[in-house]
Amino acid sequence: MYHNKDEVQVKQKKLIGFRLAENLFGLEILQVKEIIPLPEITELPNTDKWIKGIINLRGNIVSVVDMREQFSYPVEITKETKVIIVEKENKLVGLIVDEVVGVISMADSSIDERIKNIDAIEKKYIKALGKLEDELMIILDVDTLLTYEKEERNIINSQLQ
Amino acid sequence: MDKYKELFYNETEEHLELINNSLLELEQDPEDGELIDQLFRSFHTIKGMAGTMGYDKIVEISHKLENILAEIRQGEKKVSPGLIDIIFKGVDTLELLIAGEEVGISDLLQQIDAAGSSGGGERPLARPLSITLQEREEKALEQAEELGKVVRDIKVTLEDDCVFRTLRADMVINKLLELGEIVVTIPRGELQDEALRNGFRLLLVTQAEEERLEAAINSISEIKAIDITEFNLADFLSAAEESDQEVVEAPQGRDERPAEEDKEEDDGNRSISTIKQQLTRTNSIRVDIKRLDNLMNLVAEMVIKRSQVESVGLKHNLKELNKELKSLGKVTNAIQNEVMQMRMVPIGQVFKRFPRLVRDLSKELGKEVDLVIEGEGTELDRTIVNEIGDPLVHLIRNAIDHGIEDKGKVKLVAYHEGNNVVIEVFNTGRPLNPGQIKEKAVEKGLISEAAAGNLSNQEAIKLIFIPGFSTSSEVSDISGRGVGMDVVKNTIESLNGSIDVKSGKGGTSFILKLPLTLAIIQGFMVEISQQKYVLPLKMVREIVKVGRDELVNIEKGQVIRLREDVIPLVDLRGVLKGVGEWGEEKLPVVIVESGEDLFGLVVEKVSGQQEVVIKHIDEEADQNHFLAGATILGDGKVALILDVDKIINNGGGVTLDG
Repeated sequence: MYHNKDEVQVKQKKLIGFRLAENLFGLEILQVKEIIPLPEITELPNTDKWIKGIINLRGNIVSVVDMREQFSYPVEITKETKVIIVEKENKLVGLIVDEVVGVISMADSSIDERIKNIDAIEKKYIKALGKLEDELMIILDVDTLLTYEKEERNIINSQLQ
Repeated sequence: MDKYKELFYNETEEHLELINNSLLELEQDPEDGELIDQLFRSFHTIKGMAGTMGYDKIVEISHKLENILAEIRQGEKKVSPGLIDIIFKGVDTLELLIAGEEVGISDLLQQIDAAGSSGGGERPLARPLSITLQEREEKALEQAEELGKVVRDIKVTLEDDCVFRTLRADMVINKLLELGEIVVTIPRGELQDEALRNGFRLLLVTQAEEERLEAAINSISEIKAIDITEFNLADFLSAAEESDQEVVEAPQGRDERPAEEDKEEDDGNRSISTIKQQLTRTNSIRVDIKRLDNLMNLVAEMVIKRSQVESVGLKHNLKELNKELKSLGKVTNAIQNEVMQMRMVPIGQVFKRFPRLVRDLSKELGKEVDLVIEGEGTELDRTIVNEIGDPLVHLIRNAIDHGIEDKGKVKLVAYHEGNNVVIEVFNTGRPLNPGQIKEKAVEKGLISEAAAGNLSNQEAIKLIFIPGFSTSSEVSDISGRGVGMDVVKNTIESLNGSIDVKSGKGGTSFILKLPLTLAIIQGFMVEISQQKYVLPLKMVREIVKVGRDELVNIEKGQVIRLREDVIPLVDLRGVLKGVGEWGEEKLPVVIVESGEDLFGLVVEKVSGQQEVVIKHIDEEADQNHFLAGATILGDGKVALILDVDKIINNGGGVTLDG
């Protein structure tokens, strides 16, 4: 049954796990460029709260997003706070998270992409739910993560006018 | 694969440019053999590259165009405007195909075929097959002469309707091989039906008499004519020397391609200058602009790290280290400059597409237009070069459509002026009419009649830059495609440039002033709540210290008096940080010029001027567009570069009129 073992390996996903207010989140490892300690952030004037500001990443200007703000948790910065640099549409974006758990391998069979029972704005950012032995991982979709915010903002703006 | 596609695109693009230019020149000088060769080679190269990529349509078109060029080269077809039009058409289609668009090509192929068979005028008389000798052949002939053998120069023409030309030629050659040794056969390379249309020619070392040779050849059917003379090497060589050029360039037969592909030694026949040209052309490499940007970022980072090491050295008083760091600083600065230079490209990259544009437009409009281009070597930043094309196209279209009457000149000049590049687009013809322009502007409700009356002529012609203004009453196909001069102006201004127009008896001139680079500006540093911000130095007029008692409250905000002027204030502290108490202390106010007006920007501290490298900020992050970008300071911290115009217009600026 050796060949079966191989097949199982092919059907695994590697994810970067991180925590926000105790909850476990995940990003596909291919979308993550690097993880850095929280650097000095330059705030931008008159910008939505979820955009924390910009940082200098080896000479590149990268915007950083506070993931706690994005998921409506109270903002909190500790010495474990990290920035996960992801690539989205050829741009780098930093995501501020509480703590990076590490690389987690998960069998495809334990990832459920049909999310029906979550009724929240945040649903749009969520790509799938992953079942680990003792907890659930919320797997995020980098591509919708920031665009949705923009669309939502546009909708709100147009309603205001 | 994508990498190959890109390579293919880049290289073919270069060839298409070359082709466009050569065609334009060929139109002026239809007899220029070098141009024809050039064109032939370019089409041939495109064909070859497209072949390896499997782009069949491109192969087919370039093959047919190559054939036409070959026929021109053979003198079988004359260059005519109609023929050039068709080749241009083919080139346009190639451009589209190479850009990856789906284009039907059957119509085009038919047109090319029609031109290929008869369209280009009557077929001139066949050129004589001239002889060229390679070194090896020369030696062989020399030896033969030394041995007292006779060299016969034999020309054989086949019947016009001969079908199996290759076969007949082979039969003749075989017959002659029985009688002697063949040194050279013209055309060179593999004998093909097409190549043999003019017959063939060979040099035979033989002891046989002329009559015997003639009889031998005549034993083969479908021979039209035979011409046998005695070949004298010394005579040939001295004649060749006299008309060196001619011999070198002499066509060696209709189909040169196999020889060109297979035998490098044939290159010996190309003039040295062409080879030199090719060498210099390959003396540069293509680099993705992103890599240059990366390099620039890393170099800047290196500069920052160097100064951090220096501060450690100063702290611990390490004199030796500091000395070395100083010279390291010189090197890093030199690298930084060099990298900046790499981003610079000559404006000629944009200009070179204009001869074609002018040709097409003048044909379309039935006007006779001369295009003069000067200063195409003027260098400026790649990003600007990429953006400047469309505005210039628009200006040139306008110039030809509206400016030039029946016959005239468009002049395109580029030159450096301080830290700017100036591009002038000048055209002869009727000047802009200030009266008419004012009328139109009033008619369209762009300005009031009273306001129009107050305008000077110079001010009046600037009305053409107002959105909604178009000088042509009916929209023409050439320049009136819904984009007006206001779009041109916006584009130029978005590049930190300016545009001006002057018009007089001689004609009309649009003067574009552009910065050398978008990547670096002279910045004026200010501070608010310990955060540093950058203002573009060119907007800054002066700094004044203002106390609370000098503020004048008006309906829409606050102003100060500065000598003769009343200057509205914009409190940057409030705009950027939401704070703004004015205590007992005097605060610095930066007087800036925005458009024609002066404004005062209230800050907490000014900290001098500095050259800064502009870096882009995500649009999503800069929601109010108050920022022109960000920069990384010497200590690695990020400072925001302010878009002063935007802040004044949207961020609580006070206006005085009304």
